[in-house]
Amino acid sequence: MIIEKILVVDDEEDLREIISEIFEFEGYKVRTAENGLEALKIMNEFNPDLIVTDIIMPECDGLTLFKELSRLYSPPPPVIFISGYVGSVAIDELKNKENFIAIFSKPIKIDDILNKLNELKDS
Amino acid sequence: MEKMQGHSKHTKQIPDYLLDKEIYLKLVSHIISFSLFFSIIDNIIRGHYFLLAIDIYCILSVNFGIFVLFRKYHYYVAGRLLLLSSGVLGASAASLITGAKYHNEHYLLVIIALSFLIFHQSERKWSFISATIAGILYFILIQFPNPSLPFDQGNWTEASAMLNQFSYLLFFILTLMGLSKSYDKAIGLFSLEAKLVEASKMASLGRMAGALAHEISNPISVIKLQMSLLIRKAKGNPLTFDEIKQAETKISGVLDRIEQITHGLRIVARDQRFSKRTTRSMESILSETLPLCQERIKQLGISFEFLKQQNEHLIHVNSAEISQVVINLLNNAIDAVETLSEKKITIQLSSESNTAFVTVTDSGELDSLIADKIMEPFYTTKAVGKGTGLGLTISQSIIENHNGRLFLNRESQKTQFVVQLPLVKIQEGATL
Repeated sequence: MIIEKILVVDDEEDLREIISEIFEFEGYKVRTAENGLEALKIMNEFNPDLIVTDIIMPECDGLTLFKELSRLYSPPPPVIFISGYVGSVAIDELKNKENFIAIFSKPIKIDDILNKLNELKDS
Repeated sequence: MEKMQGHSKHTKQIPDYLLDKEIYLKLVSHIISFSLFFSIIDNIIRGHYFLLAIDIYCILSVNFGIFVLFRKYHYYVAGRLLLLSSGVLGASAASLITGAKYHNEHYLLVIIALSFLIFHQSERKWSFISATIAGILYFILIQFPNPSLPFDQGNWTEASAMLNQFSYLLFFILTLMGLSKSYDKAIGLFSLEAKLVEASKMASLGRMAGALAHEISNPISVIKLQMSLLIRKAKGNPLTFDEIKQAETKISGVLDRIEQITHGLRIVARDQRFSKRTTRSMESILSETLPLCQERIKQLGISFEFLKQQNEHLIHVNSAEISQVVINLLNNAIDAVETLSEKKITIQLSSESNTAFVTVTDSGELDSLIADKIMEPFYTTKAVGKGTGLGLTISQSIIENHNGRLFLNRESQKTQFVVQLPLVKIQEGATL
């Protein structure tokens, strides 16, 4: 699987920026969005290979974004969720979907995400 | 901040424990004045004009002492000393001049009763020490006009009178110790209410705990990731000063956020029974409190607005209690709108003449039947386990204790609670 472009979606500006800085440092092209709605707007123009998104965000949350991606794109881009509410968010139904890659809890361990990306690239 | 500290120093306030005992202190002064009134009549009839003067002095000093304690706030230490000294002076002067050994016990009552009452419970040992010193002083002074009495003369009548007097003293001390225990029990009853306030506050904080943990986990993520990026960069080339500075600025920024949250938590969570009232701006209290609720508001997708005027609203309050009221009102508003399609909460801070107004408006509408009962204790519209039905009652009592008002504005189309608090009057030219 080729992963070159990543879309980072989080309403926390500081977190969004540092995650994208690390991805850029690791050689990925990165764009950011502050919620699901903005992410959907960027989708066509940027055409990311992977989306890393927070779950709870104003306007359009990560779960809605995931559902919208599944509805609008075929195949939908793979998604990695990051959330402070792992365990309390109803993601069970999403786990069976093809484009669901993983969910990581905050505070984030970036190496876990980067390892996951390498696994995906090797697959 | 510095300005405010200067201001609070300028108008030193009555300590809360003294305010709690105001009624007891005044009662004691009235009892003493009443008993001395009979002594005055007795002394007029007997023609003991000097004793009469002492009685009048005692009445004046006790009442003046109480006046000083509660009016000239920053002289309350002087007030304590005046009260304690008045009894000793009265008793010793009467004994020195007349040599009278009897019927001076009411002066002791002045000393002992007040020594028990004007010290805080935690200073109880000082009550005993001052009562004991006063008792010993009295015992010595009353011997002074004729130090050889009663034992040298072998006058058993005198000796028994002395013993009688000593037993009076013991009686007073024991009675007052008993009274002080009943007083503690009474305070304990009052503190039940305080414990209820405390429990309700902890319940509100508990409801925010999950959201708060999340609010803190984001900045922690940022710090960890900044460190991780620095290490990655350092692996290839030596880090430049700019790279380190950039990371430091970002880390400092998020650390400020954590600090803001923990500061707010510390203020709200501290035991209010030991917090004093200070002069603060309502804006600063709200800025400390609102971050505690904002994550929950964001999590539920509620639109939130904080409207305020340019000028500062200075109020003299127990900040922790006012924060608790704001959290209670916000939690209620969040609960009310979380299931609505239009989720909106607005907090507005304004003032009119000498009153500050904080209104918490949510996009919900209250049924008039609910509106009638909403301020009643134990009334709740929330599910079992979600609300005690005491939040508004406790908030109302907190605001009323600050000489303010908390009410539901029934003229507002949307649900609106209004908190009114008296503004601190700043004298012209006064430096804050």
